[in-house]
Amino acid sequence: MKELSLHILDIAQNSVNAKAKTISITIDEQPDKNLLTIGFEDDGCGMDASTLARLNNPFFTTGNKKTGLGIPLLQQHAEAAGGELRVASQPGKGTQVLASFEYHHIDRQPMGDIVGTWIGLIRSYPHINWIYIHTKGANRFVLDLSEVREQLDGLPVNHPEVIQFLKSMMEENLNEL
Amino acid sequence: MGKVKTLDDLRKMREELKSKTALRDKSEHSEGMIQVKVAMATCCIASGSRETMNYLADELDKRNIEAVVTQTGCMGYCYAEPTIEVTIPGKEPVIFGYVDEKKADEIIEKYIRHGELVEGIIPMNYKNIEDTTK
Repeated sequence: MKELSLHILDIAQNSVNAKAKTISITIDEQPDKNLLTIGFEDDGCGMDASTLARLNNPFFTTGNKKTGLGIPLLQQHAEAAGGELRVASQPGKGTQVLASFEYHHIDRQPMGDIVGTWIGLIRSYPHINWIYIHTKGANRFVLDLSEVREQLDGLPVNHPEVIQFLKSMMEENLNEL
Repeated sequence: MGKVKTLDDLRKMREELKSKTALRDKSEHSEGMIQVKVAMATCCIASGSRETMNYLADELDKRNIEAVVTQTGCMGYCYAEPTIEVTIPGKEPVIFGYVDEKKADEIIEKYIRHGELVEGIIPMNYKNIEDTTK
Protein backbone atom coordinates (compact mmCIF):
# COMPACT_ATOMS: atom_id res chain seq x y z
CA MET A 1 0.00 0.00 0.00
CA LYS A 2 1.41 3.36 -1.01
CA GLU A 3 -1.19 5.59 0.60
CA LEU A 4 -3.07 5.70 3.89
CA SER A 5 -6.29 6.09 1.93
CA LEU A 6 -5.71 2.63 0.41
CA HIS A 7 -5.42 1.14 3.89
CA ILE A 8 -8.69 2.87 4.74
CA LEU A 9 -10.41 1.28 1.74
CA ASP A 10 -9.00 -2.09 2.73
CA ILE A 11 -9.82 -2.00 6.44
CA ALA A 12 -13.33 -0.66 5.77
CA GLN A 13 -14.04 -3.88 3.85
CA ASN A 14 -13.57 -5.79 7.09
CA SER A 15 -16.48 -3.87 8.58
CA VAL A 16 -18.56 -4.54 5.46
CA ASN A 17 -17.77 -8.25 5.76
CA ALA A 18 -18.80 -8.09 9.41
CA LYS A 19 -22.28 -7.07 8.18
CA ALA A 20 -22.09 -3.59 9.68
CA LYS A 21 -24.97 -1.21 8.97
CA THR A 22 -23.14 1.92 10.05
CA ILE A 23 -19.42 2.40 9.56
CA SER A 24 -17.65 5.55 10.60
CA ILE A 25 -14.20 6.54 9.49
CA THR A 26 -12.47 9.25 11.48
CA ILE A 27 -9.29 10.95 10.32
CA ASP A 28 -7.63 13.34 12.72
CA GLU A 29 -4.62 15.32 11.53
CA GLN A 30 -2.80 17.29 14.22
CA PRO A 31 0.50 18.52 12.76
CA ASP A 32 1.19 20.70 15.84
CA LYS A 33 1.01 17.65 18.08
CA ASN A 34 2.85 15.51 15.53
CA LEU A 35 -0.09 13.09 15.49
CA LEU A 36 -2.24 11.53 12.82
CA THR A 37 -4.90 9.01 13.74
CA ILE A 38 -7.28 7.00 11.62
CA GLY A 39 -10.20 5.36 13.38
CA PHE A 40 -12.85 2.92 12.25
CA GLU A 41 -15.99 2.09 14.16
CA ASP A 42 -18.66 -0.34 13.06
CA ASP A 43 -21.75 -2.07 14.40
CA GLY A 44 -20.90 -5.37 12.75
CA CYS A 45 -20.73 -8.83 14.24
CA GLY A 46 -17.56 -8.17 16.25
CA MET A 47 -14.89 -10.65 17.27
CA ASP A 48 -14.20 -12.74 20.34
CA ALA A 49 -10.93 -12.56 22.26
CA SER A 50 -9.31 -15.54 20.53
CA THR A 51 -9.99 -14.07 17.08
CA LEU A 52 -8.68 -10.67 18.20
CA ALA A 53 -5.48 -12.27 19.42
CA ARG A 54 -4.75 -13.68 15.98
CA LEU A 55 -5.49 -10.52 13.97
CA ASN A 56 -1.88 -9.50 13.47
CA ASN A 57 -0.96 -12.89 12.05
CA PRO A 58 -0.72 -12.42 8.27
CA PHE A 59 -1.75 -16.05 7.78
CA PHE A 60 -4.93 -15.71 9.80
CA THR A 61 -8.14 -15.05 7.88
CA THR A 62 -11.80 -15.92 8.02
CA GLY A 63 -12.01 -15.68 4.24
CA ASN A 64 -11.55 -18.47 1.71
CA LYS A 65 -7.93 -17.62 1.01
CA LYS A 66 -4.75 -18.31 2.91
CA THR A 67 -3.64 -14.86 3.97
CA GLY A 68 -5.07 -11.97 5.95
CA LEU A 69 -2.80 -9.05 5.21
CA GLY A 70 -5.00 -6.00 5.76
CA ILE A 71 -4.48 -5.52 9.49
CA PRO A 72 -0.82 -6.67 9.57
CA LEU A 73 0.11 -4.23 6.79
CA LEU A 74 -1.59 -1.30 8.50
CA GLN A 75 0.05 -2.24 11.80
CA GLN A 76 3.44 -2.45 10.13
CA HIS A 77 3.05 0.97 8.55
CA ALA A 78 1.79 2.55 11.78
CA GLU A 79 4.69 1.13 13.77
CA ALA A 80 7.20 2.16 11.10
CA ALA A 81 5.93 5.72 11.54
CA GLY A 82 6.27 5.76 15.32
CA GLY A 83 2.64 4.85 15.94
CA GLU A 84 0.62 1.80 16.76
CA LEU A 85 -2.53 -0.10 15.94
CA ARG A 86 -5.24 -0.90 18.45
CA VAL A 87 -8.28 -3.03 17.87
CA ALA A 88 -11.16 -3.47 20.30
CA SER A 89 -14.18 -5.61 19.64
CA GLN A 90 -17.18 -7.17 21.27
CA PRO A 91 -19.07 -10.05 19.68
CA GLY A 92 -22.52 -8.86 18.60
CA LYS A 93 -21.71 -5.18 19.20
CA GLY A 94 -19.01 -4.13 16.79
CA THR A 95 -15.38 -3.31 16.32
CA GLN A 96 -13.13 -0.26 16.70
CA VAL A 97 -9.78 0.04 15.01
CA LEU A 98 -7.42 2.92 15.74
CA ALA A 99 -4.18 3.47 13.87
CA SER A 100 -1.84 6.23 14.96
CA PHE A 101 1.17 7.74 13.23
CA GLU A 102 3.71 10.44 13.95
CA TYR A 103 2.48 13.15 11.60
CA HIS A 104 5.94 14.32 10.57
CA HIS A 105 7.65 10.92 10.57
CA ILE A 106 9.66 10.36 7.39
CA ASP A 107 8.06 6.93 6.95
CA ARG A 108 4.52 8.13 7.48
CA GLN A 109 2.69 7.47 4.23
CA PRO A 110 0.81 10.28 2.50
CA MET A 111 -2.97 10.34 2.80
CA GLY A 112 -3.39 9.94 -0.95
CA ASP A 113 -6.72 9.96 -2.74
CA ILE A 114 -9.10 9.82 0.20
CA VAL A 115 -11.99 11.07 -1.96
CA GLY A 116 -11.44 8.15 -4.36
CA THR A 117 -11.53 5.76 -1.41
CA TRP A 118 -14.76 7.14 -0.02
CA ILE A 119 -16.49 7.35 -3.38
CA GLY A 120 -15.42 3.76 -4.10
CA LEU A 121 -16.98 2.62 -0.84
CA ILE A 122 -20.27 4.43 -1.48
CA ARG A 123 -20.42 3.08 -5.01
CA SER A 124 -19.88 -0.47 -3.87
CA TYR A 125 -21.94 -0.43 -0.71
CA PRO A 126 -24.61 2.26 -1.11
CA HIS A 127 -26.84 0.68 1.53
CA ILE A 128 -24.37 1.15 4.36
CA ASN A 129 -24.50 4.32 6.45
CA TRP A 130 -21.02 5.66 5.90
CA ILE A 131 -19.94 8.45 8.23
CA TYR A 132 -16.81 10.37 7.37
CA ILE A 133 -15.23 12.71 9.90
CA HIS A 134 -12.05 14.50 8.91
CA THR A 135 -10.38 16.88 11.34
CA LYS A 136 -7.37 19.00 10.59
CA GLY A 137 -6.17 21.18 13.46
CA ALA A 138 -9.33 22.89 14.70
CA ASN A 139 -11.35 22.45 11.51
CA ARG A 140 -13.69 19.61 10.85
CA PHE A 141 -15.58 18.17 7.89
CA VAL A 142 -18.34 15.64 8.47
CA LEU A 143 -20.24 13.76 5.79
CA ASP A 144 -22.94 11.41 6.96
CA LEU A 145 -24.51 9.33 4.22
CA SER A 146 -27.81 9.10 6.11
CA GLU A 147 -28.09 12.90 5.84
CA VAL A 148 -27.30 12.69 2.15
CA ARG A 149 -30.09 10.13 1.80
CA GLU A 150 -32.55 12.48 3.53
CA GLN A 151 -31.77 15.22 1.03
CA LEU A 152 -32.12 12.85 -1.89
CA ASP A 153 -35.65 11.81 -1.02
CA GLY A 154 -35.53 8.40 -2.68
CA LEU A 155 -32.88 9.01 -5.32
CA PRO A 156 -30.15 6.39 -4.93
CA VAL A 157 -26.90 7.63 -3.40
CA ASN A 158 -24.93 5.79 -6.07
CA HIS A 159 -26.68 7.67 -8.88
CA PRO A 160 -23.84 8.84 -11.16
CA GLU A 161 -24.68 12.54 -10.77
CA VAL A 162 -25.02 12.24 -7.01
CA ILE A 163 -21.63 10.53 -6.92
CA GLN A 164 -20.11 13.39 -8.94
CA PHE A 165 -21.73 15.90 -6.59
CA LEU A 166 -20.43 14.15 -3.48
CA LYS A 167 -17.00 13.93 -5.04
CA SER A 168 -16.71 17.65 -5.71
CA MET A 169 -18.36 18.49 -2.39
CA MET A 170 -15.76 16.44 -0.58
CA GLU A 171 -12.87 17.79 -2.60
CA GLU A 172 -13.87 21.40 -1.99
CA ASN A 173 -14.53 20.93 1.69
CA LEU A 174 -11.30 19.03 2.28
CA ASN A 175 -9.36 21.75 0.48
CA GLU A 176 -10.79 24.25 2.95
CA LEU A 177 -9.66 22.27 5.98
CA MET B 1 -16.13 29.84 1.63
CA GLY B 2 -18.44 30.66 -1.30
CA LYS B 3 -17.88 27.66 -3.50
CA VAL B 4 -17.86 24.99 -0.84
CA LYS B 5 -20.75 22.70 -1.52
CA THR B 6 -23.19 21.73 1.17
CA LEU B 7 -26.01 19.24 1.37
CA ASP B 8 -28.43 22.12 0.72
CA ASP B 9 -26.99 22.33 -2.77
CA LEU B 10 -27.75 18.66 -3.19
CA ARG B 11 -31.36 19.21 -2.20
CA LYS B 12 -31.63 21.98 -4.80
CA MET B 13 -30.24 19.62 -7.40
CA ARG B 14 -32.64 16.86 -6.47
CA GLU B 15 -35.75 17.79 -8.43
CA GLU B 16 -33.74 18.50 -11.54
CA LEU B 17 -32.04 15.15 -11.21
CA LYS B 18 -35.31 13.37 -10.70
CA SER B 19 -36.95 14.80 -13.77
CA LYS B 20 -33.87 14.37 -15.92
CA THR B 21 -33.05 10.79 -15.18
CA ALA B 22 -35.18 7.72 -15.30
CA LEU B 23 -35.29 6.60 -11.71
CA ARG B 24 -33.47 3.42 -11.17
CA ASP B 25 -31.64 1.81 -8.36
CA LYS B 26 -29.29 -0.17 -10.53
CA SER B 27 -28.26 -2.62 -7.88
CA GLU B 28 -31.82 -3.87 -7.44
CA HIS B 29 -32.63 -4.98 -10.98
CA SER B 30 -29.29 -5.67 -12.46
CA GLU B 31 -29.99 -8.99 -14.17
CA GLY B 32 -30.45 -7.71 -17.70
CA MET B 33 -27.49 -5.34 -17.48
CA ILE B 34 -23.81 -5.63 -18.08
CA GLN B 35 -22.13 -6.41 -14.80
CA VAL B 36 -18.59 -5.47 -13.95
CA LYS B 37 -17.11 -6.77 -10.73
CA VAL B 38 -13.82 -5.32 -9.60
CA ALA B 39 -11.82 -7.42 -7.17
CA MET B 40 -11.09 -5.26 -4.14
CA ALA B 41 -9.20 -7.23 -1.51
CA THR B 42 -5.88 -6.21 0.03
CA CYS B 43 -3.85 -7.55 -2.90
CA CYS B 44 -6.08 -5.81 -5.44
CA ILE B 45 -6.15 -2.47 -3.61
CA ALA B 46 -2.36 -2.47 -3.34
CA SER B 47 -2.16 -2.94 -7.12
CA GLY B 48 -4.52 -0.10 -8.01
CA SER B 49 -8.04 -1.56 -8.12
CA ARG B 50 -9.53 1.59 -6.60
CA GLU B 51 -8.47 3.63 -9.61
CA THR B 52 -9.69 0.88 -11.96
CA MET B 53 -13.09 0.75 -10.31
CA ASN B 54 -13.68 4.50 -10.18
CA TYR B 55 -12.48 4.81 -13.78
CA LEU B 56 -14.82 2.06 -15.01
CA ALA B 57 -17.82 3.49 -13.15
CA ASP B 58 -17.16 7.06 -14.40
CA GLU B 59 -16.40 6.06 -17.97
CA LEU B 60 -19.31 3.62 -18.44
CA ASP B 61 -21.61 6.38 -17.29
CA LYS B 62 -19.96 9.03 -19.52
CA ARG B 63 -20.18 6.71 -22.52
CA ASN B 64 -23.84 5.97 -21.81
CA ILE B 65 -23.38 2.26 -21.30
CA GLU B 66 -25.89 0.77 -18.91
CA ALA B 67 -23.81 -1.27 -16.54
CA VAL B 68 -23.50 -2.05 -12.87
CA VAL B 69 -20.06 -1.74 -11.37
CA THR B 70 -19.62 -3.49 -8.04
CA GLN B 71 -16.77 -4.93 -6.11
CA THR B 72 -15.92 -8.39 -4.98
CA GLY B 73 -13.31 -10.10 -2.84
CA CYS B 74 -10.06 -11.71 -3.85
CA MET B 75 -10.63 -13.95 -6.88
CA GLY B 76 -7.37 -15.79 -6.30
CA TYR B 77 -5.48 -14.24 -9.23
CA CYS B 78 -3.34 -12.02 -7.03
CA TYR B 79 -0.46 -12.16 -9.51
CA ALA B 80 -2.63 -10.46 -12.15
CA GLU B 81 -4.24 -7.68 -10.10
CA PRO B 82 -6.18 -5.58 -10.67
CA THR B 83 -8.64 -8.15 -11.97
CA ILE B 84 -12.21 -7.60 -13.11
CA GLU B 85 -15.04 -9.90 -14.09
CA VAL B 86 -17.31 -8.75 -16.90
CA THR B 87 -20.66 -10.40 -17.50
CA ILE B 88 -22.57 -9.47 -20.62
CA PRO B 89 -26.17 -10.74 -20.41
CA GLY B 90 -26.45 -14.15 -22.07
CA LYS B 91 -22.70 -14.73 -22.08
CA GLU B 92 -20.31 -16.51 -19.73
CA PRO B 93 -18.48 -14.21 -17.30
CA VAL B 94 -14.98 -13.29 -18.44
CA ILE B 95 -12.14 -12.39 -16.08
CA PHE B 96 -9.49 -9.92 -17.20
CA GLY B 97 -6.16 -9.40 -15.46
CA TYR B 98 -3.77 -6.44 -15.16
CA VAL B 99 -6.63 -3.99 -15.68
CA ASP B 100 -5.26 -0.47 -15.38
CA GLU B 101 -7.10 2.54 -16.82
CA LYS B 102 -5.73 1.91 -20.32
CA LYS B 103 -6.80 -1.73 -20.28
CA ALA B 104 -10.18 -0.76 -18.83
CA ASP B 105 -10.70 1.64 -21.73
CA GLU B 106 -9.88 -1.14 -24.19
CA ILE B 107 -12.26 -3.54 -22.45
CA ILE B 108 -15.08 -0.98 -22.58
CA GLU B 109 -14.57 -0.14 -26.24
CA LYS B 110 -13.85 -3.61 -27.58
CA TYR B 111 -15.39 -6.22 -25.32
CA ILE B 112 -18.32 -4.41 -23.72
CA ARG B 113 -19.34 -2.40 -26.79
CA HIS B 114 -18.58 -4.87 -29.56
CA GLY B 115 -18.07 -8.27 -27.96
CA GLU B 116 -14.53 -8.52 -29.32
CA LEU B 117 -12.18 -10.34 -27.00
CA VAL B 118 -9.09 -8.50 -25.87
CA GLU B 119 -5.79 -9.71 -24.53
CA GLY B 120 -5.51 -10.34 -20.81
CA ILE B 121 -8.27 -12.88 -20.23
CA ILE B 122 -7.64 -15.27 -17.36
CA PRO B 123 -8.93 -18.71 -18.32
CA MET B 124 -11.23 -19.95 -15.58
CA ASN B 125 -11.32 -23.58 -16.66
CA TYR B 126 -7.58 -23.99 -16.49
CA LYS B 127 -6.52 -27.12 -14.61
CA ASN B 128 -3.04 -28.25 -13.82
CA ILE B 129 -1.92 -31.90 -13.82
CA GLU B 130 -2.58 -32.31 -10.11
CA ASP B 131 -6.17 -31.15 -10.48
CA THR B 132 -6.95 -33.50 -13.33
CA THR B 133 -5.68 -36.59 -11.54
CA LYS B 134 -8.12 -36.07 -8.67
